[in-house]
Amino acid sequence: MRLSHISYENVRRRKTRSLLLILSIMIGVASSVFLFTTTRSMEKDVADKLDQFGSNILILPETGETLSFGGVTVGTSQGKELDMAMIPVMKTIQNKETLATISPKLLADADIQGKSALIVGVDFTQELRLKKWWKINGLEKGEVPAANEILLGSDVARILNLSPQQQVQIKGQDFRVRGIIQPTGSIENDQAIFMDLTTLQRAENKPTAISLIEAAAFCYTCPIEEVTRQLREKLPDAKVTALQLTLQSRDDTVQRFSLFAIVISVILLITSGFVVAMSMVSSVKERTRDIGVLRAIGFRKQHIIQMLFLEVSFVSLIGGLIGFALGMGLAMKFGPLIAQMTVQVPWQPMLALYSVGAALVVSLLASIYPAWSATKLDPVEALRYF
Amino acid sequence: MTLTHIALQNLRRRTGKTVFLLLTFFLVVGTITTLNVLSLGMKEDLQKNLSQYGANVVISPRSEHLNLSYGGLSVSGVEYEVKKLNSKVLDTVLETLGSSVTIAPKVIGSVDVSAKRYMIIGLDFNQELKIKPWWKINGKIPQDNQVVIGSQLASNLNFQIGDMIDFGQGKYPVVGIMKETGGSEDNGVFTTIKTARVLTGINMEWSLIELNAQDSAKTVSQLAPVLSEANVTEVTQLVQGSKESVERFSSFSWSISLAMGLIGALVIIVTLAGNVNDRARELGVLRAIGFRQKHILSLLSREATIVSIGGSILGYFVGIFVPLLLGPLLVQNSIPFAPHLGLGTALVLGSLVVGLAAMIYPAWRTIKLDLQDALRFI
Repeated sequence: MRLSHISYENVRRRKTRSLLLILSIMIGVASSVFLFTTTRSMEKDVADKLDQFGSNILILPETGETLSFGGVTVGTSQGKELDMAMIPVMKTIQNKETLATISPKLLADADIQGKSALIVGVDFTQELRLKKWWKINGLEKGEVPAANEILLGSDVARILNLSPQQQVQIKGQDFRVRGIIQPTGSIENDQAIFMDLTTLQRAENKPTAISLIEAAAFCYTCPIEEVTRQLREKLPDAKVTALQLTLQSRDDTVQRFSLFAIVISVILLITSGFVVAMSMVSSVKERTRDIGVLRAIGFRKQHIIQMLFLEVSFVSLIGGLIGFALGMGLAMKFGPLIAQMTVQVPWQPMLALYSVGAALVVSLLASIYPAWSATKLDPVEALRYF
Repeated sequence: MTLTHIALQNLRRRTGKTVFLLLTFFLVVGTITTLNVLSLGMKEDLQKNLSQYGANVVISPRSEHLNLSYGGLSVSGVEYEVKKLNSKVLDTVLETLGSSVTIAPKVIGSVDVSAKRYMIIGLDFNQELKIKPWWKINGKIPQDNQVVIGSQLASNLNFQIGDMIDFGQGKYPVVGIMKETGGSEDNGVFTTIKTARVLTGINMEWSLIELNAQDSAKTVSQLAPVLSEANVTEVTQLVQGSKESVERFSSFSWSISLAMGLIGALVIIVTLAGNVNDRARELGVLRAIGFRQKHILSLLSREATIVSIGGSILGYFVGIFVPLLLGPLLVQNSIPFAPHLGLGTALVLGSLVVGLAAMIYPAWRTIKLDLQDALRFI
């Protein structure tokens, strides 16, 4: 019978005790793993959601510039046009998975009731996904205007005196006003008429032309500079720029989230370390009497400590492994549900190593002192321990 | 000698165990309180920070002509008269709003120099840079008769800092170049309001006034009635965007609090179950000398009450102070002290309920054991 045998039998004999000890290690490890993995994914989810809120990349023709600031236009020169063929090309960049929304637009002017107005041809599905802040009178969430329907900016509706469901003639075709976009504070959007892209291309007799592309890219894993660089390589004739306005506030917010997630992980790690340590201390203390018996029958201090360490390692190994499996499993299965996010929690096997390692280190550290002091007690004293 | 007395003496005799139990409650409640207070503080910080970001209210002239450009592109070269805001508008805005609102008025116009048209934007740089932190200027901020130019313009015309731009009426030194913003700024020439008025000939009026207000909706409702000749609108992209971010943060911290609560309850249950389990023998003795089940349960619940309330109150007090220490590391404005009484009450009551349940259930199972069995228990 070796020392390891005694340790193992000891764990088996005191089933409830060992079980409770394993349980407390398990809870500590599982909760740390669960919160760590879930918060990391939440961080990504938040970043992705922010990236989809408005565009962060703008693609314009290389030539041509408009002198306008905040919607106040002081001069123009017409640029070339882009082509629809660019969109499939955009999707061939190396980090193509980062392109979340691509919204091509064609601009045209039209005379309506004697006033010239700006018509923006858009792919409504993409555009409405990009402009999540638009409140549209007459259009329910999830609905998309049909090819013969238009959306009006609030100023257009006011100046032309139009209301939803009215018919308007634009470029010789009849359109129905599907909805009016409530004031957005952006003069460009408040003073434009939005029409289906293919309808406008047909009316303008430019079936593949587009004027500009607004796009939203996920930049959690791939920085925006990298995405724009790759796009520039593929689209040499166009001007690809990153919009700093949306980028900076996004970075700020995401940074805060990740800071918060780190704080939570650290605090939880410390707390669960304490809980595990406390359980260990009390369980070793309880064994004072046992240790006295062992000492009385002639075991050496060294043997006893070796035995206790074996026991502690065995328990924390099991607790750590089960805790990791439980935490990881719960995070993968229920994390997205609890956190209301669309991002899945990935399987991170490396964490198993850290979990078991941390559990072992904390438990061993916590049991050194009580084990040492118990072995130092006079066996007679130790036997009196109750 | 009442049961309470026995309970207290019991706790005193087994100091180590009692401290262990108290520590468990202390840690659980302390951690949850700290995290909650921290997340509240961080949420407010985020909200404040986002609301200071960008112009969230715009005052623009009400025109009967429609704008014909989009995203920096224009559909026709037709020029039309650009309407402007009356010079009194700024005075009215200043009168109506207090100093808590950042007001950035602008003069936007153009200068033609030998077939090249420059867009001149006159603004108050102090105000403007406060609300547009993404404007990065290489070089200096212009004084009167100096200009900063957009990156696109600089690279198109090959201008560098120190060069002079000829605007016909005179030459102006370029003291800075604005880094690419991706927006219409890239083609602009920026200068002070005074210089812009000289260059563009817009003497008294304003082209646009951008505001940054803590509460943009309130600002709009204050200004709209007094500025009947102008359009006062909230910039919904910014307002909705920051609202969404803050809501996300709230729900993030809320789900974490929930998870922490569950974990805390589990830790308490495991610890207390272990404690009662150890005392099976003692409970057997009590039964043997004639204590009724009822008495034993009541004795244990008194112990649980003392430990859980003691530990959790302690934890709560420490938990509301720790964020004050951690605050400066995490947020820009330190977290103000607040008692968070509701949170404290809920946590103390919660740990009482969990503590009682976790103590009573294993005890009840133990004392149901036959006396002989219980005494054999080691």
